[in-house]
Amino acid sequence: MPDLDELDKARRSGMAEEIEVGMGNLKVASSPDKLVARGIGSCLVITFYDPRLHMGALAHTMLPDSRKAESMSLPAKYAGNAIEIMIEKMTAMGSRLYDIEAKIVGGANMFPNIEHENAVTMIGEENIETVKKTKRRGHQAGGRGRGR
Amino acid sequence: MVGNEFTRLEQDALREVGFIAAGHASRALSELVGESVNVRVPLARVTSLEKIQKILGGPEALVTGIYLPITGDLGGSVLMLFPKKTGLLLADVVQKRGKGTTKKLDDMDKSALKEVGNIISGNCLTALSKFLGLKLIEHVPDLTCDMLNAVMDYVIVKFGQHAEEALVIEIEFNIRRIKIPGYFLLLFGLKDAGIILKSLKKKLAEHSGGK
Repeated sequence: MPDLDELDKARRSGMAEEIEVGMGNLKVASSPDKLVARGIGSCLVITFYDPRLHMGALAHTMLPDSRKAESMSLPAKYAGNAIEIMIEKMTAMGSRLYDIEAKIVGGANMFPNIEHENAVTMIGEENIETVKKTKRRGHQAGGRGRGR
Repeated sequence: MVGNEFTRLEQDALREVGFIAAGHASRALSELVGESVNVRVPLARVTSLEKIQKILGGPEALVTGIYLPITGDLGGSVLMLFPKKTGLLLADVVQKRGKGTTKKLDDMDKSALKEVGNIISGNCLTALSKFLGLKLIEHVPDLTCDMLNAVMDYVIVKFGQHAEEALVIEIEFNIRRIKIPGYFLLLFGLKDAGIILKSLKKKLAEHSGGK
């Protein structure tokens, strides 16, 4: 367990930082710092948390996978790639794959009545599907998968 | 157009498109609510889509967004954004209720606001279509009330599938007496921006040739 007094002290002394993760970006941070993504619609936020190291990663992804477009200037634009980068970064910092708890947030259909753009409106759901698939791959590799 | 940058002249031409759109949009809005409407076209620019979010307060600001796709010769989007409070006020105005009556948008209010979006963009797109000589088809709008970021990310994702930047024509309007500020955004992919410029150039050539 983290030393709560220690964390509280860090927070009060202003040492704890709130790190904004913008669209298409991905950040890793350790407690007491916080990773935040605000106002999520059809974007999909993926969070990893390692309770052993009090360390986490957050990816603010926009699209399901990178096959549909060519440009790759944003690291976490695509949910599929983002998970791989997150795993890479977390394990590089000492995380064990089976300790990581994963959660996903978002994937809404903001304008459900726009029929004309089915391809776009389905993105939220497609994002969720891609992440679930990629997560499942992780579980087979031995992940405990406490995520929802 | 060199790369993703427009020349000064092209920017001006696109801004002119914005002015025409703004003129018709504001006249439609003004007739609809029976109040005078101020408009400003601060920008017609190619921008990274993440930057649009900065315009209406923070990412968590509550807004009412009316969205509709454009097809035809151009593929694009219209997005109208009101801060939550002014969305409610606008509902009061179009439903002919006392100012400040609406506390929450019900289905009728939403439908009325969608109609507002429909009329405004219909006027604006008809004018643009005539001016540019391009066929523009307007689709049925939809409305959502959410945080600004959540509304924007839909549009950003739509354009983000193909490119990271888009042409954004930003029109700021204000219903003067009742202080209803809002944004009317016309968004086109870069390929479509190229089509707009091409038809502008053609028009210009015809014009100077006729003299």
